[in-house]
Amino acid sequence: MDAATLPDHEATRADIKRDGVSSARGTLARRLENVGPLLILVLMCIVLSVIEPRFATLGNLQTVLNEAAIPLVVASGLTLVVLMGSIDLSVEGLMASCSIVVALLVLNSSNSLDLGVAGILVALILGALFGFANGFIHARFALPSLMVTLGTWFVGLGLASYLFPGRQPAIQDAGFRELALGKVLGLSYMFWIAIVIVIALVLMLRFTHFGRMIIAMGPGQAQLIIAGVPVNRYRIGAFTICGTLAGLAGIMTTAQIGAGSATAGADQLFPAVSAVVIGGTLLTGGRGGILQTVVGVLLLAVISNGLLFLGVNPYVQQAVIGIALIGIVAATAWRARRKLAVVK
Amino acid sequence: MRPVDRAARTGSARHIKHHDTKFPHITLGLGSTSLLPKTKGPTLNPTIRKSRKRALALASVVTAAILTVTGCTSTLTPTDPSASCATPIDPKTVKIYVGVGAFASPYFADVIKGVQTMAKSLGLEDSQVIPYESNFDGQQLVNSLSSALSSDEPGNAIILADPASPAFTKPLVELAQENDARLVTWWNRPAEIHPWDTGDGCWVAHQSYDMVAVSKQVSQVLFDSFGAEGGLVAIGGVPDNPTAKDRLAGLQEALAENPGVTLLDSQPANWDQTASQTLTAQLIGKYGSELKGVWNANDAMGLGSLEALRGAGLAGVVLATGMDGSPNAFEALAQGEFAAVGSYDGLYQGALSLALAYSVAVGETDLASLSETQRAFYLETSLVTSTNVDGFLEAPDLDALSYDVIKGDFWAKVSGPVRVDG
Amino acid sequence: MSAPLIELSAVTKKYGAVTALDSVSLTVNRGEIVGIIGQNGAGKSTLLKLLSGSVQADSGEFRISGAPARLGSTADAARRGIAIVHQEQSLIPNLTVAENVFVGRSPGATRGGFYNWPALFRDGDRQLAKMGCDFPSSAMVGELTFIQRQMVELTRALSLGDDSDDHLTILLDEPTSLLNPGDIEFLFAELRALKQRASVLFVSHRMDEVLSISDRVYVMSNGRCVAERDPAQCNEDELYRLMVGEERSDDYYSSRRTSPTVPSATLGPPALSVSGLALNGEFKDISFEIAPGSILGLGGVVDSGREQLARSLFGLTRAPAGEVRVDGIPVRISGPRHAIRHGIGYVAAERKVEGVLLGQSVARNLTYCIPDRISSMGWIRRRRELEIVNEWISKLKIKAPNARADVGSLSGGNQQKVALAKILSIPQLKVLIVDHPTRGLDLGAKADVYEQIRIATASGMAVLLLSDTLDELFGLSDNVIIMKDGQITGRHLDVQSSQPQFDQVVREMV
Repeated sequence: MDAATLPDHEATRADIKRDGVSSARGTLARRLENVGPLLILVLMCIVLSVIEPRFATLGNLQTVLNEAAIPLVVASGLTLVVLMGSIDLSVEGLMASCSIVVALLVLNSSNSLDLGVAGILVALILGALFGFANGFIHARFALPSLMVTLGTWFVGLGLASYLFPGRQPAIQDAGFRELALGKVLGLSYMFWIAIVIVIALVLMLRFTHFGRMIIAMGPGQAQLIIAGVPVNRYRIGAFTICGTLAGLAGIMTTAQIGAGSATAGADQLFPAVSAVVIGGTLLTGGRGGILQTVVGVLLLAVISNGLLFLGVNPYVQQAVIGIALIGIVAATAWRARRKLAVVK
Repeated sequence: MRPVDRAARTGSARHIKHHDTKFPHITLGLGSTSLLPKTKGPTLNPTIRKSRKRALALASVVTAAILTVTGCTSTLTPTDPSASCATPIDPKTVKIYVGVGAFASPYFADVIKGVQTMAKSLGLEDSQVIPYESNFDGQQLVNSLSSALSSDEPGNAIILADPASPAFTKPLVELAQENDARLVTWWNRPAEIHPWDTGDGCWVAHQSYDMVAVSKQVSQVLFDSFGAEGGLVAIGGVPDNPTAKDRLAGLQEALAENPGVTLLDSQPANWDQTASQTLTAQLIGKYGSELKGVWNANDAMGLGSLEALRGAGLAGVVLATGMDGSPNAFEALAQGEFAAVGSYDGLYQGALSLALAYSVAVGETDLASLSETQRAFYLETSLVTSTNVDGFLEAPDLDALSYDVIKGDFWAKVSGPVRVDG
Repeated sequence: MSAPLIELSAVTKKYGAVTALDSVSLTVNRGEIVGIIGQNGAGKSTLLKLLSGSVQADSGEFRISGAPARLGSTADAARRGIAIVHQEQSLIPNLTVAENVFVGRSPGATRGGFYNWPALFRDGDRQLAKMGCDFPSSAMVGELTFIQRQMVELTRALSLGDDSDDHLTILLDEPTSLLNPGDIEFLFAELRALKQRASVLFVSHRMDEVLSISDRVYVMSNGRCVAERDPAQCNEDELYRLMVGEERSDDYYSSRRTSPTVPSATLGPPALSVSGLALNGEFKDISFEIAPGSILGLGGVVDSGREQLARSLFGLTRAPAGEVRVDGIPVRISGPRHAIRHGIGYVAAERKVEGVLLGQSVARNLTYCIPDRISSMGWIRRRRELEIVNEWISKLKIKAPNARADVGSLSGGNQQKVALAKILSIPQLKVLIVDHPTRGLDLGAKADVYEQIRIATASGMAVLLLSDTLDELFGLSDNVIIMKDGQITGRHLDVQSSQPQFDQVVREMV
């Protein structure tokens, strides 16, 4: 080859740069993305403690963590699905169904069943079945997850309404209620269950083939298929786990309010999605993780608790949370903008 | 405005004749500008001329469209009075639509049951009673009823519904009018319209409960539970909902009479049990021992608050309140965990509404002869506390909900006319 | 003499009415590198899909080591020892190198679905060492350079050899299109070293590269295998003719040099004149003029600032300081619309992102810049639109089934032609900025694009050309400016009559 020609030299370098060779500056920005939300969380806690000392009491912190248990479970399951680049809108419907089902199966005021732990298992299996249906229909028929889970959402709500016995079933199984009422180190059993789930999911994503494939599927689905990896299997698996966890959240809600409720899932979807996004998991998948979501959930919990303490007008609270969402995402995802030639 | 432009705007030939002195060859509509004699002035840039022509064309088309649409439809004007809701219904085939907020609400479930009991006593089939839930969204209710009614024969339907918000009362009335259906509305109604001046004989009655009065009573009992000295928090319903506002108003009236009691905080939980629990838990954390009571605008939220109190070990120590009269709330009263609950008889409400509408629809009662109070009224409410709760825990007497019993006096349990602004 | 490793006999593959492969026969023996050259659309990619198991032939024979083969999937192909390294990278960016190397298989390092990371990285490192790579297998693929990723792909292909009994065949699909010369040398050295363990099928439209690495070369054109040659004894012109089907013109770049219709540069103001142009962090002190009907070439390596300069003239960056005049009138370009209104057009380098609207028809893509010419009163006049579109399709020889076809279904070269036509069709165009206009195009397409640029200049348009190769830059332009680190480091006037030494030019660039 003639030394004087420089074929495509310039093109190469430009592309390579864009493809993400780590320069020192690049690494720093990426670290910031990962740690940013955590820093904001810590900062917020400090500021709130200074402004409002009652925030920083042990009792209040315990309350915040206890209240975060259910959103944590929902958001963790959602994270798996979002990592693949999909979305699961059906969590509210699943929570409602499983809440009613478990309330009707353990000792309750509406019927004479007393299945105890078996009742809990049945409700969990229901959640798993819903999740499996989501994944199966989405993967096998190549329908967008948005549409499929929108449908299951309403099916779940409908099922809950249908099963509702006319009078709200009050839980009479003391052991079941202990899940919410019993405390270890001031934190409810539900909180500890949520922690265990988080740890399990983190380990799964890091150490199992299943977990690694879930992470890979976000940006790399096409490549995996070319390589002969059975991606459908893993997709369905992720959705099943998400459904099971949504079911668990419904069960936990029942334990918490002491009754089965067809509105057990109300207003749980958007905080969960927000938590996932704020934490740093991209909605397009491939980046982020469970720990990031934990930060996101805590951030939202602290914001709303803080606003309550500050006596902020409830109408304004929503607006504040929305602004905070935009601000946090903008601050931590600033770098990603450059990569996109077009931002939609 | 030049005559040519006016012609283009209205699309009507009539207007031009009187004014066209200078331009005799005008035709109407789109072609007008091109027939203008060429003036000596500066000619427009072709692009601009073209875009002006375009704009004119668009304006004419749009104007014509608007005129056509508004000319043809007129849902806002009353139709011939003698035509609406004049024919009696056919009991064998009449459809009864019941529109409630949520099936899962015990109160609304009672209302539906009341309607069904009355229907049975009238000899109607179960399938003739068709409940709908609006999920507290009036638009959804109007849409559902509208599509259901469109497939029925007109003049053979009864609608008993809560519009969920005053904004949807009028659409509901108009819907009834269009389909010659008899309507009884519950709870929500804007102050300007009444059954006797709107709906043209189709709107039979509006029934509600005096929330301010009973709420005040409930609040007073709560205050007394901590000796009327101390602080409480209020958990309200959806903030701009009139029912929520009325209930809070009752609380405010009671507060005015109890100077020793302070309202520490007031937050909405949108009628939701879980939201109330989360909120109360945090408020307990914020106010600690200052908190002596939790006021709730409905039973579901009350029960949610109760669990938060239980989690903090305060159940039965710091009392909560409710409003509706659901069995679980009565249980809590019996356990001494609720201070008071405002109760209204959903069963009776449902039964009465159907009875009244039916009676008018078959011609047994003459609508024109009814007074205003008989067409817009409050039914009685009850203040339930731990002392009288036993009476409410008994199973209801469904026989009393028969047509023969109730038609004796439809207004037996009326407590008064609906307030002018209510 | 043992059976050839791979043998295709009279293999045909049709997609509906289109014959992608027409009775193709070729062989690959053990330990040799076979090159396949041909234009885009000649059937190279279908051939590769066939060999790697993605598609099956309609007729003909396909044998591996003498035995008939029927490959139903890439996994099948892998088991028979055929691995393909794609042109579009097929690595998963957010997994480690080791995971990518062993993707789709269960390396000994995992047990029951659980990863034993240390063991996995050990295996991965071992494979990488075979290729002589110097990065650890625990690195994230997303952080590697392009050539490093190519090496990982090769490693993956090679590691299949450990699992398979057959002699390995590696199919390389346009492996060098994004590599710089140093990397290409490295790749070729690796390929030559591989010959002991594997045979290689090297598919590309880059004639000179294929000739330099292959032991034997096949030429494909229109789905047929039209020739087989020994690289040492073949003539580039002959190969060109076989590939493209027409003679390569002598004055490939500049046949217009002889035409006297170039308007004199002394008449009237320059079409574009720039003075003291500067953009913070990108370039400064930029001044030049382009006379109507002439071409100014802008050379430089990446980061020389020339791309930013071109984009700023079209309003795609922040407004630069300094003065810009079009036809002598000072203008301040605040955005692309503004630029177009003043007669400046831009053909983008990133075709897929900025050049064409994928998902829209060819017709729509060609005409969306000139709505006034195809519509009246806001309504599109189909006949007028089709007239204009068909005119351009024939002028630029755009290969599209029809004007309504989705532009995304066209080959890269044809998409670029559509993007070019779109800009050329703007009536008030005085200055055309072309940013790497022939990147990714094969020879025939390049020739068509050059011709259009020449025709445009013949009618008085001024052209600012950013080009991939010095050959192209100096072959097309009248004058050339070299930039480095944001400043002009060299000016070469009238390069057609006296071409400067490339050594000197390269020094100005780097």
